[in-house]
Amino acid sequence: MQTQRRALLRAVVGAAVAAPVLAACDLFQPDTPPPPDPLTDFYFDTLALAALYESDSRPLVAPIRDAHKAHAAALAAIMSPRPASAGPVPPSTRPSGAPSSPDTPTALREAEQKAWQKAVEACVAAPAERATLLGEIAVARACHLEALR
Amino acid sequence: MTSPTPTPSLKSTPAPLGAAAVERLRAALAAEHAAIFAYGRMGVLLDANGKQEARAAEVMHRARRDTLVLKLDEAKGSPAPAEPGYALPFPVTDGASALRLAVHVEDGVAANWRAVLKTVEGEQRKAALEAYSDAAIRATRWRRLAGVTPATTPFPGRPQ
Repeated sequence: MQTQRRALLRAVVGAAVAAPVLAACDLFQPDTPPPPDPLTDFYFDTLALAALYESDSRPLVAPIRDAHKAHAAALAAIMSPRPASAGPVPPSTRPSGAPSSPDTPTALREAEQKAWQKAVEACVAAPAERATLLGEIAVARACHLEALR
Repeated sequence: MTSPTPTPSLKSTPAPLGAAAVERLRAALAAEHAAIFAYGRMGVLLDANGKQEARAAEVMHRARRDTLVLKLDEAKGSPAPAEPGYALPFPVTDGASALRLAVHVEDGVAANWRAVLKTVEGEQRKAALEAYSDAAIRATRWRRLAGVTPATTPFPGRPQ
C-alpha cells in the first residue's frame, strides 16, 4: 500500500515537473522560425563586397577588403537571429546592384559607391542602438572611395 | 546625401533635441572650435597643395561651427565659445608634423560626430552622418598626403 502511494506520488510529482518543461519546449521551439534580422540583406551584400576585392592585388585594396570583412563580422554580432552562414562568399556572388564585371578599379569604385549609399540609408533608418555601427560602415565606405581615387 | 564629400546642412527639424543629443552636440562644437584653431596654426607649414586643403577644411569647420551654435541656441543648449587657445598634442614645427596634426584633428572631429549618431534621428542623424563622414574623409586625405598607410581605418572615429 505504501509502495503504491509512493508510486502515485512519483507520478504526480513527475507530471508537475514535466508540464513546465514541455511548456518551455513549446516556448523555445516554435513551429515557425523567427523572421530574419532586418540587416540580413545588408550583411550578405557586405560579404559579397569584400569578395569583389579578392582578385585585386593592389596593396591599397587589402585594408579595404579587410574592413568589409570586419564590418560583416560586426554586423553578425548584433543580428538576431545570427546569419545562417558566415563562410566564404562565392566569387560569382555580387552585392545587389554591383556591376557585372568588378575586376577594374572603376568597377570597384562603382560598387563601393552603391554600397556607401545603402549604408547611409540603413544608418538613417536604423534604431538608435544600431545607428553607430551602421554609421561607421557608411563612413568607412566613403573613405574607401577617397582612397580609391 | 548624394556625394561622399557632403556639405554642412544641420537643418532645423520639429523634433526637439534630447539631453544626450545636446551634450554630444556641445562636444562636437568644442571639436570644431579646436579644429579651426589648429588649421590656423598648421597652414603656414604646409606646401601649396596642403595649404589649399587646409583652407577648404577650415572653411568647412567654420560653417559647421556656425550651424551648431544656431542649433544649440535653438535647443537652449548653451553653445560654448571657443577657448582663447588650445594646447597642441605634440610640437608642430614642420610640414610632416603639420600633416600629423591635420590627421589628429580630423580624427577627433569624426569621433565626436560619430558619438552624436545614436542620440538623434531622421534628418538630424543624416546631418550628423554628413559631418562625421566629411571629417573622416579629410583624415583619409591627410593620411594619403602624409604617406601614411593604410590611409583608411575599418571603423573611423571609434575609440582605440
